[in-house]
Amino acid sequence: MLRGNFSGRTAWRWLMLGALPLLFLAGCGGSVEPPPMMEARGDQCVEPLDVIRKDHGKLLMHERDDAVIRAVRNPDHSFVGCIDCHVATEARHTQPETHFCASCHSFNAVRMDCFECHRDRPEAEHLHTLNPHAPGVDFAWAPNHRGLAASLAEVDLLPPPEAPKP
Amino acid sequence: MSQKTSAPISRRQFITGAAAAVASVTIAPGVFLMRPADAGTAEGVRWGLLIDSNRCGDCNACVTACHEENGVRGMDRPRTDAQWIRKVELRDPDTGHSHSLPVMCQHCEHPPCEDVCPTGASFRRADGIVLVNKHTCIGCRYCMLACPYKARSFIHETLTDQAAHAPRGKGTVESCTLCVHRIDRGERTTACVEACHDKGNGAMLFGDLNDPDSAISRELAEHGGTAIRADLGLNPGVRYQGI
Repeated sequence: MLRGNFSGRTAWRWLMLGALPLLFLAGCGGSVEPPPMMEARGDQCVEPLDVIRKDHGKLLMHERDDAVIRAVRNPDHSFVGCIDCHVATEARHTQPETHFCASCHSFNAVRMDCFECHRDRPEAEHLHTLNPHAPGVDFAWAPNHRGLAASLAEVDLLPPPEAPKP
Repeated sequence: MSQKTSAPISRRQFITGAAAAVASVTIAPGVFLMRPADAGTAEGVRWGLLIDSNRCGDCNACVTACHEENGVRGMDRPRTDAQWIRKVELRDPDTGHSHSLPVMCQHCEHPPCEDVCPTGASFRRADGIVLVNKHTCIGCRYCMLACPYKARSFIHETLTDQAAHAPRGKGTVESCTLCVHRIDRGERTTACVEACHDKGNGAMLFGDLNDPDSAISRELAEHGGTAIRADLGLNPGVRYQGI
């Protein structure tokens, strides 16, 4: 009697501690929606995608002292250059859904202070002046029909999109 | 006595510089694995200003131009609003003669703000420009107390819409940068000097104090110039005539 009672309680305890949470977790299965990554101007980032995605913080952090103290600026790793290519002129870092950097940072629960001081969007008159790879101010932007998926496929991050059937 | 300072090159700078020279590898058209870094601050240069207070008019053109250039906007609170440059009225009580002159960061050779900064955020670049490294500034405001020219301001409120080339934000101290973004782009003038020239006063001159052939050095050699509070021995890079 005692033993049966005990095992019943243990089973119930197991159910509460183990199985039920597992059931809840099972309900969470499937993929998490990634944040929308806005398309950038220009056709190529200054570094390969996997490098820039992982190490952009390190690049900016390590080269900022050279820029501020010794005026040694690497135009490829310029903060303003990132903003000029990636952020729309009407975006605000306080509205992450509009802002390239903020959307990913808020998704990953990373809080950076860059935009407490730095301008969070391009200045129209300075657009691309610091980025040697990007077109100039009066360049007429052609619509990018290729899309992000095609760009990612190019660097083997996604399977190539299916070719339209003739 | 001016003491000539040469830009010291650290071990790390030497090594990375040498690496950059040989390892500039192109990995795609227009994209480099590592490219030789820009030259950095010009060698053996000391940037300075010469202000002729006899030519300085009643206008505010230099102040307006500076604040517009660097995105400095007031919050309509004069006691705490940032000012990178201000006009000071001088009046001789004996003769009644009065004139005004602009005062900004004097870019001292021996800056007291640098001496007192606990984090090293306040520093003097090799080309003589005194700046605040806002990445390391903790907003303690010792530099503001130490500066005999009252050149620095503290930002009390959250800012938006800064100029891209002049990051500024709440909790940091700031002052005149001698338009360092222009100098680093290769321009040889500042917003205030340009505005003064455009106004027709031509009271301000920008140039290299270490180059004896520059306009500013020739003018100083010919007519002389004084520093404000020269008794402090800070050897400022901003010189005045007619005070």
